[in-house]
Parts: sequence; C-alpha cells; structure tokens
Amino acid sequence: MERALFVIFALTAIVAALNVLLRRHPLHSALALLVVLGALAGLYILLGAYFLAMIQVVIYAGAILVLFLFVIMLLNIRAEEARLARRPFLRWLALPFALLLGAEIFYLVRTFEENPVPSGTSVGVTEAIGRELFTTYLLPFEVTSILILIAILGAVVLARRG
Amino acid sequence: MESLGINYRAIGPELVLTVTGVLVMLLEAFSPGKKVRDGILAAAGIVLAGVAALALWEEGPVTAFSRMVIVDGFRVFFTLVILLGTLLTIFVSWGFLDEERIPPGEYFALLLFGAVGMTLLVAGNDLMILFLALETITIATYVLAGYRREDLRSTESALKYFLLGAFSSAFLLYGIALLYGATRTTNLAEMARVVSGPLGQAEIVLLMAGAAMLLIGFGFKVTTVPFHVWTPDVYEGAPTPVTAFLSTAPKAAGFAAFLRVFSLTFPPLGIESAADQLASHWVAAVTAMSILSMTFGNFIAIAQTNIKRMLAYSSIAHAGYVLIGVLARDWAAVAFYMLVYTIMNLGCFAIVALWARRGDERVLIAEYAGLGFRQPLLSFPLAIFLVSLAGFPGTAGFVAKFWLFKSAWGAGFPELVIIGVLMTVVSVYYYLYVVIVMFFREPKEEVPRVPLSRAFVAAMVVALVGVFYLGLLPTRVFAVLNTAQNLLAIGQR
Amino acid sequence: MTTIPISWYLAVAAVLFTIGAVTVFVKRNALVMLLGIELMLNAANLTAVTFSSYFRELAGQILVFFVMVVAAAEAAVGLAIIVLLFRHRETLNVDEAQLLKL
Repeated sequence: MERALFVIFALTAIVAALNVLLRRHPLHSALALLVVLGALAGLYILLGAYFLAMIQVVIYAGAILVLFLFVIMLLNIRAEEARLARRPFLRWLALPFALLLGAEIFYLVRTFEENPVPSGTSVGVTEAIGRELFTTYLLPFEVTSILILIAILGAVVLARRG
Repeated sequence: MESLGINYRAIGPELVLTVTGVLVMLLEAFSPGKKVRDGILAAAGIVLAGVAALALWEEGPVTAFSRMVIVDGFRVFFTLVILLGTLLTIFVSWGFLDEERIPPGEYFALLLFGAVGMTLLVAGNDLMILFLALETITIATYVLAGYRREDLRSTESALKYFLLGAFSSAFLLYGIALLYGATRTTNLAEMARVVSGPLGQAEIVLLMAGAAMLLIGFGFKVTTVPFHVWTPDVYEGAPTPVTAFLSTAPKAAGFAAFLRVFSLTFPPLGIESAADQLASHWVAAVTAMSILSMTFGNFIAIAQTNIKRMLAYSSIAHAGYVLIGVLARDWAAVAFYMLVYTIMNLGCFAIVALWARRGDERVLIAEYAGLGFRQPLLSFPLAIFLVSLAGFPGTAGFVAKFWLFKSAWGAGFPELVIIGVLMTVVSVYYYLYVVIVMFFREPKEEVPRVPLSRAFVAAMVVALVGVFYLGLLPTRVFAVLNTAQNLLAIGQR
Repeated sequence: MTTIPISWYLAVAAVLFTIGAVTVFVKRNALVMLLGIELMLNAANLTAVTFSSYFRELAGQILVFFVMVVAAAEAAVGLAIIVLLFRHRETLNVDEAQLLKL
C-alpha cells in the first residue's frame, strides 16, 4: 500500500517536473510546478511530516505559487518560441551536469538500499515542530522576521511607480 | 529561560542594527526625505553596534541560543570589518542619494538589515543560521542592485544577480540537506565532532556530495572562478555605491562563513577520520578555485575599459588571494586581508562614485584623463588606493598580502604563493594604468569641478588613515588578532 | 508491512533537483528560470525531510520550514524585479538583455 502510494506520488512529481521544463508557455510550467508541490506534500505525509505537508499546500502552493501565476497573468506573458536559450555554453553544461547527477542518484540508491524509512513515524506533528521552533530554533525563527521585513521593504521599493 | 540559552549580549550587535534599521524605516514613513537625520541615525547605530561587538571581545568561545550563535574573537573581528564597510558605504552613498532622488530612509534601512545578515553569518554556529543569514544578505542586496529603477542597466543587473544568487542558494541548501543526512545535525560544533571520527561508506558519500554543493554555493557568494560569471555585469550595472558595498562587506562575511565551515568544522586532523578524507578533496578543489581566480581575474582585468568592470575583475582576483589564506587555515590573516581590502576598495569606489555623477555617466578609464593635477583631492587618494590594491610596500595592501602569503608558505602551499606573487605583479599593470591616465593623459574636454561633500571627505579620511596606519604600523592589530586566534585554538581543543 | 528504502526518496529528490537545474540552464524566460529554482529548492526540501524521518529527529523538518519562508521572500523580491524589468522592455527573455549579457 505504502509502496503503491509512493510510486504514484513520485511519478506524478517527476512527470510534472518534466512538464515544468518542457512546456513552452510559462503558465503551463507554473501549473505543472503546482502539481509537483502537491505530489511532494503527499510524499511528506508518507514520511510522517504532517505539519510540513500541510504548509506545503497552504503556503507553497497556496501563496507562493499563486503569486507566480498572478504575475504571469498580470504581465500577460506569451509563450516562448521553440528554440532554446542562445547560450551555447550553458546548454553545453546542462548535459554533463545531468549525467553527473544521474550517476549520483545511482550511487545513492546502491548505498542506501537496505535502509528503510521507519514506517508510521510521526515526529513531524504540529506540536513537536512548534515546541522545537520556539525553543531550540528560537533565534533562526526571529531572523526570519527580518528576512520577511526586507522582502516587503524591497518589493515596495522596487515595484512602486513614481 | 536559562535552558534556551537566551543571551541578549551575545546578539548585541545584531539587535542594535535591527532596532536602528526599524527606527530609520519608521522615521522615513512619518517624515520622509530627511537624509542627514537618517544618515546620522544609521551611522550612530553602526557605531553602537561596534561598541556592542567590542564588549564581546573578552569573552572566550561561548555559544548562545541553543548553540545557534557563537561568541569568539573571530566573530567580533569580522563583525567590526562588516560594520566599517557598512559605515563607509553610507558615506559613499551620500551624494548619490541626492542625485538620484532616492528616499534615504529605505536605502539606509536596507543597508542596515543587510548588515544584520552579515553579522549573523559571521556569528552563526549552525547551518540553519548560516542559510538564513545568507538569504537576508542576498535579498537585501538584490534590491540595492536594482535601486536605480528608471535605469535599465540597474534592473538587468538586479535580475542577473537575483537569478544566479537564487540558483546558488539552491545548491547551498541541497548541500546543507546532504550534510545533515551525513551527520544527523546542522550544528557546526556537533558536525565537527561527528566528522572527527570515522563514518560509514554511505555517510562519506553524502558528506562529500554535501560539501561539494556547499562549495559551489559559497563559491558563487564570494565570487571565485568558475562561479564568478555574474560578478562583472552586476558590479557594472548596479549603482556605484552599491557596487562598493557588494564588493566588500558581504564578501568579508562570505569568507568568514567559508572559513567557519571548511577550515574550522572540517579541519584535517592527521588521523583516520571522515574530516581528513574530506579535507584532501576540498583542499584540491579550493586550490584550483584560487589559482583560476587569481589568473583569470588579473588577466581579464587588464583588458577592461570600464573602471567598474576592472574593479570587478580585480575583486575576483583578490578573492583568489584570500582563498590561499582559507587553505592555510589562518583566519587571522584572512580577517586582516578583508579589513584592508574593505578599506581600500571602498576608498576607490568612493571616488569612482563621485566622479561617475548621476546615472553613472562617467565610468570609462579614459574619462579619468587629466584628473591628476586638476582635481588633486580626487586623483591622489585614488592613486593611493590603487597602489595599495596592487600591494606596494608602505601601504596596507602590501602588509595584508605579505601576511597571507607568509602564512600560506608556512602551511605548505608554496606553489600558490608563487602564483599569487606573479599575479600581483601582473595586477600592477592595470592598477597603475589608471594612475598614468589620470596624471599623464590630456583630457579631451574640460575637466569639470566636482563638489566634495562632507561625507565624502569623512570617508576619505577614514580610508586614508586606515591604509597608512595598517600599512606602516600594523603590529598592534597583528597582536590583537594573534591573541584572538590563539584563544580560539585553545577553545577548540 | 512493506517499507520504503530512503534511497527511493533521495533518488526522487535528485531527479527533481536535476530537472530544476536543467530548467535554469536551458530556459530563457526569467520567470520560468525562477520556477526551475523553486523546483531545486523543493528537491532539497524532500532530501531534508527524508533524513529527518529516517533519523526520527526534527532538525531537517525545521530547515524545510525556514526554506519555505526564504522561498516566499525570494519570490516576492524576484517577482518585483521581474515586473520592473517588464515595464522597461515588455519581455522577459534574458537573451534580449541589452546592456548586460545574461
């Protein structure tokens, strides 16, 4: 059962990710990313990270990606032409890069084959995360407030008219 | 409360900077456009943060906030370098804010919040803090790079900086996740303990992959070849005072984090341990990055006609020199180098910014012709800073390079030192070329008089005093740094 | 009860990271490049959550929480820059960058 769910979520994520790469209209790419995010939320549930699965849907998919969609529609961006980037250097780089990571994946799968994720783990419940966030990780949590403040300030500075 | 390790003194500089930043921002909201008031407030906040940092000098290595931050001499010294860089940037930006009619409050607030990120990066003892601090810095600087909104070049440079910065952050994050997988922790002290013993085969693989990813991420942030591609364009397109900032304070913070992670967390111990296996690889990789940065940076700099691009390539070259110090694991030498580099580079950019005028119209080296005796208050300081960047004896640049090379020689990197010295000789060419143009080329048109603001004069005085004090009487600073380094070494044992 | 080896999760994450990186390499639209970067961040997140579950320890999940905050902040500023650029020249094609080669 778990394995079946894993395969479904993993395949959905990978196929959707390929769509992000291969679609020519930015809107389609963004929607494909939305599917990836949803599938990842499913994997998080399988891993027992319930809180993260929830905020993955609510914040990542619900807020961040909607921001992307909003900008795409606001600017009314058209589809790209078929040809790829006019950057031969980078395109040349992409293939060996992909091969390198492919080799890494192969290696990872071989070395970790016998280590299963403990089934039915539930360390990632909201209470536990909240407790950690406000004790051990209090300072990083406060730092994020500065980060958000900068983002607000920056977005206002850059995007206002005048 | 004690169990959480809440210790406000330990984050004193960061607290002061944050409060000042918020204050400046609020003042701007209620009574906008008061540059002098906001500037003085921001400068006062930085000075106060410096005092708060100095108050931590005597404290041995202690951690706070559940070991998220660490207090040691390393952190205090780098914090002071960053604060000095930020303070000088405020002076350098003084005329620019008027010319471009930029609301000063938001600009100063972004500088201050960026400085918070940098001081936290230096203080961080946990990969999570390092990641968040790095993002704080980069997000603040993306905005600063695009600050001249009506100028396409500035916007394009912001976009380029943003895309490559976010790209490198993703590598950094993947590296952090893999290191976590290898060591079960994100805490640097804990990680150092784990890697000092042997690890299983799978963990070693993760450790290597994670460290490689982290190296790519840091390589981008400190502008080393081959991860430098964004540097010249961003440095050229960003407003000059912002370029001055980008090339100094965030780089000092980046090198501090680089040192903290690679030299202090994964030091080769000379015994059978995971750290040693890792060290043999990263030493090779960083050696290559260092050589590439020095040669590439210096040779390409020769071909530049735009002074901002020339200084960008020079900045890449200097990153190459600093990596030698990182390899030698002599943080005191690196800290001193970054102090000196911050002073002389900001001094240079102060003059470039003043001479460039509104919209960066005058940035070609050829346009410096005739500056020499007609504008001595610009040309002589610029000549001094350039000569110091080239590393002439008597200037701070020489002392910094000498210390760096000496400790690298002692640490067993003679080939790097030889390349470094040769490349320094190459760099003399393009630094002196600007001086020659200024003094010995006749200008094509009348050399205009540029009014000097008080803030500019203040920046010049600080930078010139710094270059000569550190160039002629560096022993005091040496002694302080060496004491701190010894204390840290004892604390680590 | 069947269990899933962690290598499977790590492999999915590595595949996603690669696809994201390739997207950044080959696409020309700044917005789609940004989508590729989001894909890379999510791949790193999956890696961290996998290890977190495997170790039965929370640090990895806390890291992911912070990454989401960072992603939100980054998206806000990045999209602001993109909107600003669009106002300048009505295209997001990075090859058409006029003054600076991208």
